[in-house]
Amino acid sequence: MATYGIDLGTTYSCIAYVDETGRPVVLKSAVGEDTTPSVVYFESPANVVVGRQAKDSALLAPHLVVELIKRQMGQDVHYAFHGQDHTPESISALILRELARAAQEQTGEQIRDVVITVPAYFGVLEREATRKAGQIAGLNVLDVIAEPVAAALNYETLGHDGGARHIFIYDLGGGTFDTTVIRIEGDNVQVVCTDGNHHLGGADWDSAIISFLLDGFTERHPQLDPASDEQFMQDLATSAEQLKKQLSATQTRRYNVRFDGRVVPLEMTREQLEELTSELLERTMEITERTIATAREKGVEHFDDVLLVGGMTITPAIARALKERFGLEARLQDPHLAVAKGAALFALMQKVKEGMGGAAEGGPSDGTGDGTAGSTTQEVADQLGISEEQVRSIARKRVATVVPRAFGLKVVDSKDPAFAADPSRARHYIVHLLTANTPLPADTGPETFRTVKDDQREVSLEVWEQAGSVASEELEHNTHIGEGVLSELPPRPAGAPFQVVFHMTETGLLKVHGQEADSGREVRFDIQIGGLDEAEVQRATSAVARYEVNG
Amino acid sequence: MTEKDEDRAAPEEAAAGETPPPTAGDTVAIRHELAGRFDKIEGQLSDFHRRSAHRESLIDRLHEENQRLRGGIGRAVLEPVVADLIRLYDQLNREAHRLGTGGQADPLLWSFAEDVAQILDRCGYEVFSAEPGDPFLRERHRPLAVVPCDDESRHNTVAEVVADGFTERDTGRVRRPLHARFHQYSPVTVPDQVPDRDGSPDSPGTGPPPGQAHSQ
Repeated sequence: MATYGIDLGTTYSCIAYVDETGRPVVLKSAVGEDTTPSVVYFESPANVVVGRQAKDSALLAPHLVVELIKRQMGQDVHYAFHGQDHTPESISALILRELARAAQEQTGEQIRDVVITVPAYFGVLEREATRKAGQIAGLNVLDVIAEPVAAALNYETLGHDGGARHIFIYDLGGGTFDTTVIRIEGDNVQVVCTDGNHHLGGADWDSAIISFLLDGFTERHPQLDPASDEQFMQDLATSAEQLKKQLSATQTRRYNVRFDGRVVPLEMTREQLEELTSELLERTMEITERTIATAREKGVEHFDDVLLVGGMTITPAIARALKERFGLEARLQDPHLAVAKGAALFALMQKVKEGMGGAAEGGPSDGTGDGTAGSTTQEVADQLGISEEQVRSIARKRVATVVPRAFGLKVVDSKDPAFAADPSRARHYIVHLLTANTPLPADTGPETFRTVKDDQREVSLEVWEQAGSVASEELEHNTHIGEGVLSELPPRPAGAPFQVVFHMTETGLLKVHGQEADSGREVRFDIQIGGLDEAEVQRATSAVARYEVNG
Repeated sequence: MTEKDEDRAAPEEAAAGETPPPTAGDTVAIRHELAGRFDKIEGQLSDFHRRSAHRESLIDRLHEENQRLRGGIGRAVLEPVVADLIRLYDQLNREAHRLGTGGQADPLLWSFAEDVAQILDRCGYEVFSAEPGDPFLRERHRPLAVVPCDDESRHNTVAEVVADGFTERDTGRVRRPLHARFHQYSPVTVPDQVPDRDGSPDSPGTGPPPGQAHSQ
């Protein structure tokens, strides 16, 4: 009954599970690596390659290779490969299928129940798209969880006594930087605030080292142009990454730059590297400062723990700067794989809860519930070699987050002079019903709106979400994320009131219902979040299932 | 029984004499209680056996894993050294060909490259190469650049090997793919610029960028 956690990353992805000893373990990719490049190559109409080999094929078949698809998640874009239509969801599903396939080769069991991680800044639309990607891959998505929360779970930050604790997470990966503050009270986890730069990461540090080495060579041999030699640049990129890692452990490294029979011996010190990349570090510190200020506005005065996540954080300069600038004592542990491992732990928590049903949420104290629930508890206890009481303790843990971005409905401005003549020509704007960072689960309460025409029997409602960093009622500052139709309204004159209630679950799933304002009678409301409806998801599932996927 | 024992037994018998004999109802109750306790013990015992069996299977698996890890630890320790040796082999090989004459590599430098290949071989890694005209194999080749050609039959074939590849002898897994330039058939125009792979949305070589997608 293993459950799996998947870190579906922009550049790399990773899958982990909780093994029989109760510890989260990362499962290797098809080529024996901990992570798999999030790259898909549509080799033929029947065959898809995911990972390192897909990345290597990009140069020869650029029109058949997709990279960085996570940046398109939730957007209404379509691609065609060998005549087959694809969306970000279906392409992500192929990555998920390959991760599951490689994992299955190692564990020998079918991968079904998973939790997938998303960035903390992902809104409703992107989270829903991620969930659908899992569904299209043929997986049972137990939940999606914010990456920093997953990292925190891996650091065993839950279950401490003594009141609320606040954790600051500094996540510097290969191509993105994120900061998140989470609050942990007993077994409850909530995201307090989040910030970041999605175009800043370890690759920028590598580029600085490459420039240093290249400049060092061309200063001595200005007549040569090593930058035009692909093999030389490939070597330099590999060496730059190695140098960066080595200088995290030692103070000085020598490197002989050789090209066209010339050699320039160069030496790089850790101090030099820090000087070269000080501007990059400073950018992360500015965001850190901003995040601390936002957290302070929300009543967070100090942090009990500071976690470093992402491969780049092994650089000692980061922990030192956090200490010097903000007095933060940072902890570094398993930064590359913490997110996938935390997701695996969360998957187990969700599975236990699912199996235990009501018993997990304050049910009978013996926790056995019905027959199925009881056997699941025992099964999990046996699998982990822990007591059933410990399993019940896991089931009591609760992970909740905040509304990632403000969202609400598009409405017509009845004060606009154009409204009287033709409401459709009047100004439209967004009424936000839930603001960003509202703790989840959240309920808007009944919001009253009015019809614009006589005998209007149905109303089309458009759900929009804040697009920028600040909420604004202007349409251009928001993104259309879904729509629904409120139908079976009684015939009334224009201006008849009706009410809409939005409810967002603790993991960000949006539910809506409508009612007549006068009678309180429930009104039928069908909402569709995201680009793919159920039929399209089914079609995509069939299309993806037909591919032979390998890594 | 000794005399002493008999002496000691006397008061017990006297005390027993004071307790009324159990009634039929008491006996049934005691039996029920005993049966309940036996059931509980049996349950606990089967639970204990189940967990023991689980622990045994876990120990077997951990032992097996431990043996496997011991075998692979030498390789893991050597990993950074192997990376540096491959780099050294590449550079010696390249310089040997650059300094060679008449299409032949410089023998002295080539011999050093060969020595490095031998060291890598002793570490469990075998060198492999390719010939111009060999087809692209995604599991063994990494294209560095494309060379335009007007012969469709040479499309996606090796134009020039830039660096040899290495495989792990035990597993057959590719440790470092062969680096090469590949022919690319271009019937209409022959671009003179090599596409980059930096992932920027507007550059070629990154798959269908967002700009090529269509909204529906």
